[in-house]
Amino acid sequence: MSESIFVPPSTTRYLKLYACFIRYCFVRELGFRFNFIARSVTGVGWLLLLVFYFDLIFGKTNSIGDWNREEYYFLMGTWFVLYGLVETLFLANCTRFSELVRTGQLDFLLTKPIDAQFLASLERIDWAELPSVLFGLGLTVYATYAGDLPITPSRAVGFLLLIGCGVAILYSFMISLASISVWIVRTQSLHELWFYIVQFGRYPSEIYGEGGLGIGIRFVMLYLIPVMLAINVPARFAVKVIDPWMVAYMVFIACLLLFASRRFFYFSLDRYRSASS
Amino acid sequence: MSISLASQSPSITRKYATTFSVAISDRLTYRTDFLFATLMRFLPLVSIAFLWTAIFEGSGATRIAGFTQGEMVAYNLMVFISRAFSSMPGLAIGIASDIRDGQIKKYLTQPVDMISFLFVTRLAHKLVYYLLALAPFGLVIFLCRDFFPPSPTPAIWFWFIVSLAFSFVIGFMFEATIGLIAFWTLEVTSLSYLTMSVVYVLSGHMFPLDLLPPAVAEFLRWLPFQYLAYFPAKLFLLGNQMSVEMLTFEIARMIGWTLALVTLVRVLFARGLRRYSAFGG
Repeated sequence: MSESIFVPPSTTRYLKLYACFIRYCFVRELGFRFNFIARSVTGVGWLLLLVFYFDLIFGKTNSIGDWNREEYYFLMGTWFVLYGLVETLFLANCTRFSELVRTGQLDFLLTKPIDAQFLASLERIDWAELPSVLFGLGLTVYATYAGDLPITPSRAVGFLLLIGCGVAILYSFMISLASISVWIVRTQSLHELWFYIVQFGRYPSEIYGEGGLGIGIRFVMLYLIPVMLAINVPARFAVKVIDPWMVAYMVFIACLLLFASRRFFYFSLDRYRSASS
Repeated sequence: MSISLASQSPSITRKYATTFSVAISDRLTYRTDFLFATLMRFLPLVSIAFLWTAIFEGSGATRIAGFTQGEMVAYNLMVFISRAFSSMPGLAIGIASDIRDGQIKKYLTQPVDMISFLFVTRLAHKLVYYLLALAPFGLVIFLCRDFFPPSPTPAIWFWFIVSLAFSFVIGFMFEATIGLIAFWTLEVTSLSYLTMSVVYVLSGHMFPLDLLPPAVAEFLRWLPFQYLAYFPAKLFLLGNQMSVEMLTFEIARMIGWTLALVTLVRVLFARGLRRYSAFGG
């Protein structure tokens, strides 16, 4: 064993490495410029379509739940930023992880002198999704001005911090899903199911109403699989009355899930048996 | 070359019947988590039902764009059914890549017509799909039964089924057109992604066209896309509000577009082949 494997992990070393990932992925994308532009444009195009759809809807009604047009745009913007960040930073890595397990190439990742979760979750940055994040941010800014929303600097900072918590929540679920591939080799449908579950959270939690099914969905999506929490709480924090308990709960759950998913990731690595050659 | 081979081959019906049955057994191999995957795609419908409830509550109206609250939810379910007939996943990209990497040779050197071959294959795949999807679709429709208006008249049922058959043909021909463009340009993949989102809106898959300003909606009804999702769904739900003249006109327009697209595909294929033989290696 060479000495380099036992270099103590230092933050600067990890930051430097991450800067390399960022640069490398950007250069990779530039190799297929047309594809990169086409993907960015289609990504933003879909979001524009969604905004257009809700613009039509708000031509027929003044509110959805207790959200008026601009507040709703703010919620949509929050959703675009949050999901865009997850797609830029983690999605490609998590789907790739299942592939690494299936082919046995995970061996090469594990033998590198670096934290395995760091490498598995961050090596790829999907630059083509970044325009969607910027579009979402732009939408929140537009909604703020158009609707004269009561956003103060401190609310804006809190909003961004809560977005961070939201990303952490979604990431924790995704890396756990990826870890499952150690046991179930084909996790394609699981990833797809996750995509559909996240869709529940992008609407205001109020629309689910007071019926039995609605209360059930809201309970599951706020507390058990808290994707609704991840999207609704930051937007509410920015534009509605602040509910300190919900905010505290979200920060707590984000930390808990990060911790639990890290444990689960290493638990699954212990069970990894590589692919026979 | 292909002409002389064709004259020695067995009857055309038998040829495509074999293609059909091979495609069916091919499809039945991958049925394992089919039920799970199909049911999963209906999950967004739950949110859509709640969303439209909230929209109707917010507006206080009983009808939006001509739909009641229940009909709006039922519309979102019905477009799943029309798209089950009209969507052709992978067809355009498949044709394009066959052209690009020269795989198209396998059709040219055999006594089959490529477009007919692909059409029959798709037909078989779709039939197996409906057979398997009957259970999950039936379950979802049963769960959503309260959203539906009373069952349409037998005549509407008849034209509904006819329109689904046509939506299959129109969907196939449209996707084939996109794929055949590969004879002229290599960038079909991004083009097909682009058309995917365009079709999603223009076909009424995303929302009923009536939600748009009347002039825009009327314009879109002149395009073939409405027959991919909007027309069958609307016919089923609100067909009894449609006059006989209107229905006849719509059916005629649908048949017209079908013939036009079949001709377009034929012409593109013939011209493309001439071009291909000139440049292909």
